[in-house]
Amino acid sequence: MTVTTTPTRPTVTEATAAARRPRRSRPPLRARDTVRWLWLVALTVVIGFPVYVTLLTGLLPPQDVAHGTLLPTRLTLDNFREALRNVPFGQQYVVSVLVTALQTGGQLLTSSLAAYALVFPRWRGRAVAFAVIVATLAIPGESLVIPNYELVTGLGLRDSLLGITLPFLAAGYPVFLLRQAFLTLPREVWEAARLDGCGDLRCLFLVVLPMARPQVTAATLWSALAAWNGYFWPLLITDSPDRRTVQVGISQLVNAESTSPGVIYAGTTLVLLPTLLLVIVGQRFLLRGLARTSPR
Amino acid sequence: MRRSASALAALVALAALSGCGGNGKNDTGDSGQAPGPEALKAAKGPVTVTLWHGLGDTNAVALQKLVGRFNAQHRGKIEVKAVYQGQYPDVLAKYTAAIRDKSTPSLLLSYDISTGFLHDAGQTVPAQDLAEANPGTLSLDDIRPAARNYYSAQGKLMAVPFNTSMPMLYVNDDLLKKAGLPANTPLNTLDQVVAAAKTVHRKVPKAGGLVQPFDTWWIEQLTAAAGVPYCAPDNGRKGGAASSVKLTSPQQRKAIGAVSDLYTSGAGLDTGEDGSNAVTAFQQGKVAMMFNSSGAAGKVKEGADFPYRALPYPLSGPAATSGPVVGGAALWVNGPGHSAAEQAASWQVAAFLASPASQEEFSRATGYAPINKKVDALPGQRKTLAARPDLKAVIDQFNKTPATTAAAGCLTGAMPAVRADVLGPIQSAFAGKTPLDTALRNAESAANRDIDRYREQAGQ
Repeated sequence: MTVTTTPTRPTVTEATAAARRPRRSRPPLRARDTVRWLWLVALTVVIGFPVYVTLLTGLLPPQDVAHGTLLPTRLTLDNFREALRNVPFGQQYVVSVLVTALQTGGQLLTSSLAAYALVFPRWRGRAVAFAVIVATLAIPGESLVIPNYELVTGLGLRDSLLGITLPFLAAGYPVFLLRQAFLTLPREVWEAARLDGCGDLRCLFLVVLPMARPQVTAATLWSALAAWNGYFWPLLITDSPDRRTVQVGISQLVNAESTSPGVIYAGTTLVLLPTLLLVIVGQRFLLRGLARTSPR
Repeated sequence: MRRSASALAALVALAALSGCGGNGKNDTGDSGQAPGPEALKAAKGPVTVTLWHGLGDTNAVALQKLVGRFNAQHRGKIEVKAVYQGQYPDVLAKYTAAIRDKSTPSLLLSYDISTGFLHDAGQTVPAQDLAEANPGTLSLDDIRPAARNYYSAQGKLMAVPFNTSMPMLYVNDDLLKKAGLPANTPLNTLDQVVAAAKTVHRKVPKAGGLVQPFDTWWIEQLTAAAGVPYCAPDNGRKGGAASSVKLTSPQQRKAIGAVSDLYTSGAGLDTGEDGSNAVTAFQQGKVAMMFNSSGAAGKVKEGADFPYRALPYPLSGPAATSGPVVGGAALWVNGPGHSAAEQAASWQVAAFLASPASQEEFSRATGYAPINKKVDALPGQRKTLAARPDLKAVIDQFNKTPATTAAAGCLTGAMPAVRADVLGPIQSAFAGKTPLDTALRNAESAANRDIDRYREQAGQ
């Protein structure tokens, strides 16, 4: 008996405490909860509505698209068939994924190396080097297109994966982002690592980068988004339909004189769906990663 | 073209245009003797023709089908590779980059307003020379005069029109009836259309009188339909290149003012620049009449569940000199950097694509008007037109449009910039924010600054 009573006692106290706690703080909590829920619902509508419209419009026959139907009575897969008939989306999806991986990986590697060099080792002229890197942010992308085109073509990389990614393997913004992140890290940790005989590369990859994980995640997202959304450059530098990215593919669904919104939405859904599934399936890992790297 | 393309592409196109104009070329595109069939015979092995185009969706599928047929007919001799290069402004930007890089395609399908630039760039062989050097391939007299007129400079055809469209007036008969207008209400002139639009707006609650996509193409159309040139001198078609834009002639002022009044009074419906939005509004029965491209005919038919008609674009000037300007795109054969055999093969492709059989098939698949007059006599086409009065109206308008300076539209390499310059002030005037006369003057001076800049860079 004693065995059974001993463990129940704290449970009872916990239960009463738990029962008491909400009673005391329920009114303010409830108001706060309502606001929070309303906010979440509003946010869900704002984010979910365009996705819903995209999915739905892709499934509607032309007449219903014209009438702006939001609650469908009939659905069709014709738009998807048409989109797939016109554009090799499967192959282009593979290209887009490869481009995104290569470009993001390249940018992260070059920018973390640059940011490390700008923050930890002390050398003459690093302020100037940083100023030059920041100044590149002010150069409009449009003005670089033609020189890049000539350079990449000159290197014989036209119509290749490397040609699409080459001009973007180094970018100013992630350098800036990571440099600012590295500046906030305790320098003593780096010094200790150096004293323990750690080389610069080991310091960067094993000490600095793990400490700056939130900013590294932010830089990765920025790079990946820019790579995934690239349109004009991949179009300019590639010629074969199967070496093009999905963004170019979607533009091919647009008909200059009379566009079929249904087909464009169907194509957008095809491009959106794998990414969306990835986020839904992977959100647990994404959240866990963010939580682990939240402020220490 | 009515679709406004990505701002980036347009920007690059313009930047590259000026860069290219800087080469100081101002020739008519003559680059030596046009090669004839003997050049093709002398070729060892199959000749590859690269065709760059900006056709998407069903249009691209239809083009690819024709290309496939050509390749099958010329197996072992000519092989065409048709490559989509983005929408029209993207194609032009890529082509401009290719000029600098000496990697232009053998054949280029480029849109209407690039004509001035392509003429000035001097990279192409005039279609007229190629037609003369290759007798029996394509008779230029078979090309509809309005289309031939558009792609000609100093009376010489530079490119072969392939997909052509025209502005049309689409009328919702139900709404006209509701407004108490008789079924045979004449809608041949701009004044008649404006009067009908006002009546509908007054008598039918919540219905608009007229909608048109809000881009500069429509200002050019109002000008041509008033029988006056958009650019001086002579729209750049006769003597030298166009040196200025004219937006303030009394005929233009009257025509643009009439449509502007509709908008400021609320009888005009503003659906933005995209032609598809105007189509949607028309299909939803929100507006009685719509100015839109003939290329939209297929889409209008798909979604409209009420009786409607497609009518010729209304004129405001004398019928002998006034008429709408053609839109669409044409095939340019590239010279420099391409062998005589390749040029001759490219011409074979262009002639095939402009042939009556190809044009009939392409027109049926896409809704573009066939540019070859001989298509009208084909039994299949007669049957199609009997069943589709909207398509017949386009062909009739094409055949009626006089090949005059006004209806040819303005020929200048600065046209993409001019379009952008005119858009802002006109939108502001139609929204009632700026008086129309001020807006027209502002647009004119902004456009003229760009023409001056272009001429300076192009050494004109």
